[in-house]
Amino acid sequence: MDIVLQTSNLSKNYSGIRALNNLNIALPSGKIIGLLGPNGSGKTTLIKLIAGLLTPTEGSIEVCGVPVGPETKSMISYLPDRVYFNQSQTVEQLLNYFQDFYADFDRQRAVSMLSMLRIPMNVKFKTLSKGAREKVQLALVMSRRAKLYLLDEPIAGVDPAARDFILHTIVTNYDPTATVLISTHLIADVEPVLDEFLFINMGQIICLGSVDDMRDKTGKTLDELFREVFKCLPSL
Amino acid sequence: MFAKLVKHEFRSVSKPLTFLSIAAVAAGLIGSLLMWYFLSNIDIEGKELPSILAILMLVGIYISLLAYSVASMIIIYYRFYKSKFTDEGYLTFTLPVSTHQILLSSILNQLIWSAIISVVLFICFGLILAPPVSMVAKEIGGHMDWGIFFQELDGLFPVGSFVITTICGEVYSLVLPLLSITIGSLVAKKHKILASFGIGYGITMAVSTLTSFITIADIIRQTFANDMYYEPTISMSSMLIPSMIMLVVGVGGYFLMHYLIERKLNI
Repeated sequence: MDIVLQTSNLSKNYSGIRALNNLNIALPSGKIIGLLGPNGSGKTTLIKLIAGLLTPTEGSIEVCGVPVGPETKSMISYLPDRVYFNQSQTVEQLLNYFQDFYADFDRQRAVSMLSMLRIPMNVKFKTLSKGAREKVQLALVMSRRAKLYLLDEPIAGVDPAARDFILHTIVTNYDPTATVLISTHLIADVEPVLDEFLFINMGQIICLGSVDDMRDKTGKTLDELFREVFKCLPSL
Repeated sequence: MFAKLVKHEFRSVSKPLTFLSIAAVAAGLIGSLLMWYFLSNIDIEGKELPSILAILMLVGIYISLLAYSVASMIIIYYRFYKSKFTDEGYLTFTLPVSTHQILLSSILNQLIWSAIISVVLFICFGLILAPPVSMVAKEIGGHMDWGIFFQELDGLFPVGSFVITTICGEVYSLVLPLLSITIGSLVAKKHKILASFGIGYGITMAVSTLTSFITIADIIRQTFANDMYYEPTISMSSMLIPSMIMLVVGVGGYFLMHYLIERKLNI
């Protein structure tokens, strides 16, 4: 199985505080992987480093064997945990923007997803509701034929129906040879779609593996295991 | 990819700037009519009040044209800030392009719009000044030797040094605002735009002080180098020193901006 993402001794400091500490991971292709951890565990920092938004303090990152740079950015489809499109543009202009910069952008797929969501193309992005904006962003990000999808908290702050739509969109739209890395702390919601999981805390990998194997071995759900591993209060 | 970046940068500000430019040209046309009216009635008794009103309106148009150039540049700088240092930066800095391409496209966009704004202002002031200039030209045009005029102009201000000064000044004025916004956005937790203004002002003051100091020192050195005449001497080097300082600050500022965005930026 090909390795899509490899990090070697990856560390990141913010003003002397270690956010990631000597991380060594290798993610295979064709998997949906949950990057799971409590708030402040280093999930977003890791995703930002892979996306090329931050520079590592130490160590290296390779995507399909290429060090992070303009070339890897063309292989990565990244959805941050916020509204990040130019809000004064129309949905159609945003589609044009993606089409101009990403050779792997499938416009037809984006148009059909948006029409399913009944989002008109000529409407300005800022006039859409918060949920609709997040769906437009997800539709555009998932309409790329990327090698690696980085989805940072894609279901945080949306209602359960929207969560189902988002997870369905992810599962049905990603290329089977690509890898999807989903960062979240809403474990129960993402558990049904995950192939593998990766627990992270205080900038270090706590455990990782196949979700099915873990269930067979421990008899617990991923959500139960997460609560056990990251337990911070004594049992009531 | 670079051409696409420039295209999207240009388009992102084209709507408000086109609207402002059309409004500026309209103001220039009105100014031209007012000037023509003023000159036609300047010596006519009983028309003093309308002439004064025309002059006041001309002053208003002059101020609005200045406001046009300032507002246009603010729109360009604000777009730079929005697309790089707010949430939009997540999209900008994950495009499959290098940071150099992102920065150079912003600088080129600024240069293109500065040129358009200059042309619009030239047209506007041309329209306003056309009536008096045509009157003066009618009077002296037949007697004027334009060849001698330009020769004397070249003697007063050599074309070579003018070109160098313009290029250096342009590099400085293109990079300085973007550098100020970059530093302001990185150092300030809140009020980033205000911090950018402060940093821009600080850099300008530092460069002006350094330039004045070196220029004056050079003038003094050259004046006293000649024992026979104690007359202040302004040589070519005195004129070019400020340009060289601006060029160094401009080029150095660009690389500093690149370093800060690559290594220090955390949106």
